[in-house]
Amino acid sequence: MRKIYIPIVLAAAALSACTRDVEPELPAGELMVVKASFEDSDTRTSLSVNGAGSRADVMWNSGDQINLLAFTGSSVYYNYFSTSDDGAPVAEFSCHNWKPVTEAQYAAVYPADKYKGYEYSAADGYTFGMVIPPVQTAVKGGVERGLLRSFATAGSSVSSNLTFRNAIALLRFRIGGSAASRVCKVKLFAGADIAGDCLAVISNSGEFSYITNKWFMPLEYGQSNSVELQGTFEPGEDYHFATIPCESDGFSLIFYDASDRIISRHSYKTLKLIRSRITDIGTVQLNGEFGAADPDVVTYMKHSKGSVPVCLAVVAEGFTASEQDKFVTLAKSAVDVLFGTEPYKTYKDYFNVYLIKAVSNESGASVTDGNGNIVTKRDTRFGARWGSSVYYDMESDQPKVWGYVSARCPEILKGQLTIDQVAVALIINDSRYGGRCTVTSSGRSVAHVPYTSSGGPITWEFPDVIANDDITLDGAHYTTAAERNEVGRSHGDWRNTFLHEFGGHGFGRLLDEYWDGPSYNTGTTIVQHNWSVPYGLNVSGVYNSVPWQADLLDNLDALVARDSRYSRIGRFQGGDEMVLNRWRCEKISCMIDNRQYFSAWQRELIVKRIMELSGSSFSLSDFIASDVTFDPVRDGSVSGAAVATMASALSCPPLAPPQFIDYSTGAGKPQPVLK
Amino acid sequence: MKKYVQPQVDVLPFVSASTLLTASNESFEIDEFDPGFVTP
Repeated sequence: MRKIYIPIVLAAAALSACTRDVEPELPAGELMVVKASFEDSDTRTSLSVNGAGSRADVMWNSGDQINLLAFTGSSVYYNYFSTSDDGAPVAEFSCHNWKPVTEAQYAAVYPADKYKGYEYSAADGYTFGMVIPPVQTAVKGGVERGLLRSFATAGSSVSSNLTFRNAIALLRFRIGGSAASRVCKVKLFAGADIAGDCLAVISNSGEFSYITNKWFMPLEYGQSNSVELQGTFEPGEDYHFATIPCESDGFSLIFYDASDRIISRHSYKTLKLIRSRITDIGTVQLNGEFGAADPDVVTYMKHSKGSVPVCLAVVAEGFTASEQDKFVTLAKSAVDVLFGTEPYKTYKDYFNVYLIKAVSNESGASVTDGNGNIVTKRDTRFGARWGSSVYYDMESDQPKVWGYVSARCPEILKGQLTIDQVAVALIINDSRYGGRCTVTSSGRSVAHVPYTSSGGPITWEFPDVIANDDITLDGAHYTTAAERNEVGRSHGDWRNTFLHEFGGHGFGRLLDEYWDGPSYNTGTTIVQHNWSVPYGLNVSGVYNSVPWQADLLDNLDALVARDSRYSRIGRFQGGDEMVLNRWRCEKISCMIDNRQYFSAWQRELIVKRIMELSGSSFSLSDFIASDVTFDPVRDGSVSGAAVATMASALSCPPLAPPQFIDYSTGAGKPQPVLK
Repeated sequence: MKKYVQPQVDVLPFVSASTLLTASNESFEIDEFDPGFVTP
């Protein structure tokens, strides 16, 4: 091994790295991936490739830097080492001003300056805050400079040799066909987080694992289910996406021309992106025209207001190939109920609504034991499942849903929106009762809505008990007939489930306002209020500090003068599953019994979200001017035929509370206790 | 639940001698995979 004489400029850089208060200013690192048959490269002479070309070596290049870390107690010591070796799989790295720390655990990372944090524990091993940019530059035959990630662990002492192990996976492809020469961007969409911030963990036995929903803060990119490759693409040449290792059940490649028109390629196969492996999918033939409509996507509504459309995606689950028309019919019917309900009705011109087909091998959905364990499996596209008698465990493979929608929603494909901004509903071709929405702190959602009773009538009752008063925690009583008569009884069908789960929980980001039984807790904090995309502002944990105080309660006299139904506004005890210690704005709403009525404060929250997502500004006076207070249950008339239908309706308990996924702290609200 | 925070990071102690490390890299193995793209 040859000795390295460090140039003065590098030595100076190394010295600056040893000063805690001064950020080192060092040249960017570089690694190259070179395949067996790669030619005309200045690294060719140093390749170590087997005869079959089934391996690609990683070459160190001059200027590369590694960061040597020493973990001791709660501290992590570091120093940068640099190399001037070029195009070599083994290189010498040097640093002035370093000596081992006693009683430490050592590890090294490449590139030196691309990590968000480090941690070592005797139980878990090493944790590195790894960041994979979701936008990468295309490099013929290789990857972007400084994009590869690798770690070396050294135990309790550093020998002279460090063996770096790759921490990422690569997806290789080539393009061919008549449209190939016009490609200038390629995007990979997966049903998993494949880029952004994550934690890479190396156990003490050397096993790698990855955590994509906890991070060292602050976030740089957050989660990304896509990687975009930009640059120049030559037909027949190798290009690579660098990703977080994972498995994706289904994936898509989207090819863009210079005008951002696309050609889509969707796969239903399971893509395994394995650490330190290149998955080569071969040549993708692009013979069609850019800009052809995706046959899976039916555009049901188009916006005419707002600088950006507010997008909703309604997706088929448990519909076979021959049932796709049935899905479209049901989806249109459900969307019509949503946009027949205020405030969606008044603000419908802000929305694009996409009905997205998805073929399942079997009809229906899987049946669980009520605790998440599948007892009867149905082979459906997104794995929707819930218990036969208990539906509080209802969910699907949500990341797969988000990836599927991301690769088909036109505004996401254009880069105008992310999946965090597009509310998703799954219409599930299963006649059982249920309904639950999965929501995340970053704004994502999937509302799970079954085709209950094959469209037959359903009715929901007001809760059996009610707070003794609206201020104190002084107990509850059985709801009286007079109290029931005041709010009326909700009648409808599965589309009311759609309204509650999708319009209320998913898009509106509203908490439930019902309660079930006399239980409650004394805590006053609703953690979802502080999410990065706040959730549940329709419910307060403090009587004297409700979020609708300034806009509604303080203006109540003027509001009632305009419309007497605003006298329904107040502070009513009960909500968020608790009969006491939570307050809601009105006695009754869609978030209790699924009627086609949102309370005034719920309407304002929904309109604020519409305005925000559409790039518009919210005006309280504009909202009030166009607000509609009509509740069809209390303010409408019921026909004789409807009364007959009501008599045969299936009486159902409340829908399940949302499944909360908290990416901001790593600690979400626990799963609900099964009942 | 475990909450991850940025740990304290200090520069390694200062000495006058230079230090050399040798670093080697793991290779990427290549797997062929037929994506079976759905015909549009």
